[in-house]
Amino acid sequence: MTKLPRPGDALPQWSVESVPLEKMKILAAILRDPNSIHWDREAVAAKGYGDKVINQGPINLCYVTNMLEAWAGVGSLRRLVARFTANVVEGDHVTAGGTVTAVRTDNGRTLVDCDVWLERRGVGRAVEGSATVELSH
Amino acid sequence: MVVPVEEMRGIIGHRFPGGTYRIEHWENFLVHDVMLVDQSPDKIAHPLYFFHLPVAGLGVTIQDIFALCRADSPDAVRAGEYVWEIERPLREDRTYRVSGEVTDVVRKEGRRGGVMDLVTFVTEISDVTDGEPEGPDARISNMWIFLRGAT
Repeated sequence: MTKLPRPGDALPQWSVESVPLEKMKILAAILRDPNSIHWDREAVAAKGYGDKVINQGPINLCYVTNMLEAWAGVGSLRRLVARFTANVVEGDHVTAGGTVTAVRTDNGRTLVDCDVWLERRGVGRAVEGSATVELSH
Repeated sequence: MVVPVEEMRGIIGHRFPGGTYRIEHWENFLVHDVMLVDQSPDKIAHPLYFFHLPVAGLGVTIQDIFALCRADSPDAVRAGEYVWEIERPLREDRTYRVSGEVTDVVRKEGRRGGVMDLVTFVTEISDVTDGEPEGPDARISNMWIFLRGAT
């Protein structure tokens, strides 16, 4: 990053062309998450949620952190406040983005506050929130 | 029958057993693979660990938390609001102490979701690899929504 961002600056977006089912299965195993809506299409259909497996909320949230770290650097995240406003399902095109709201210093650290979001193409926001990253990391 | 709100509010202050969790390379590799990004060379753990450790290091499973919160079924649970306050990133080959408790239960009734309980868990994550730390590496507040169906 060659110059400090300013309030109102848009963050470089980060996208997934097609949210992959296989990654949901891997994470379900790592987390020991018993919720079958994240790994079984038939279970999803039987529960009346459609015919596509539903992505885990933490994956949706961390598409946002991927966007932040791609911009500010790995390990730069200092605060994240987020809520989940819609599901993301296998095959979705999603884009994470944000806008700078403040740039400040704290004990010699340069901190950037941002509004952040994850957009599900054709549906709307799936995650909304705010974040702080440290640029001097 | 919907679990009485008094019973749910009775879990406020419930402290989990707590424990330690070492972030192994193989797992951090797989988490990065799940998140569709390459690992950094400096062994920094993916931020998804700020969700993973507060469960895996607490000495309980997701199913245990579902049982504590009287989940009707695993698919009657939704992610609510997450607040992550991070002093420094987590790293591979480090051992973290995880401690936490239930800090709040709020009952609400939505037009679509019916009765629901919003349960907040606050967890502290501290690197104890080299002994007692000066303070936690992260303080995590995760709110999960437990759908109770119609009244």
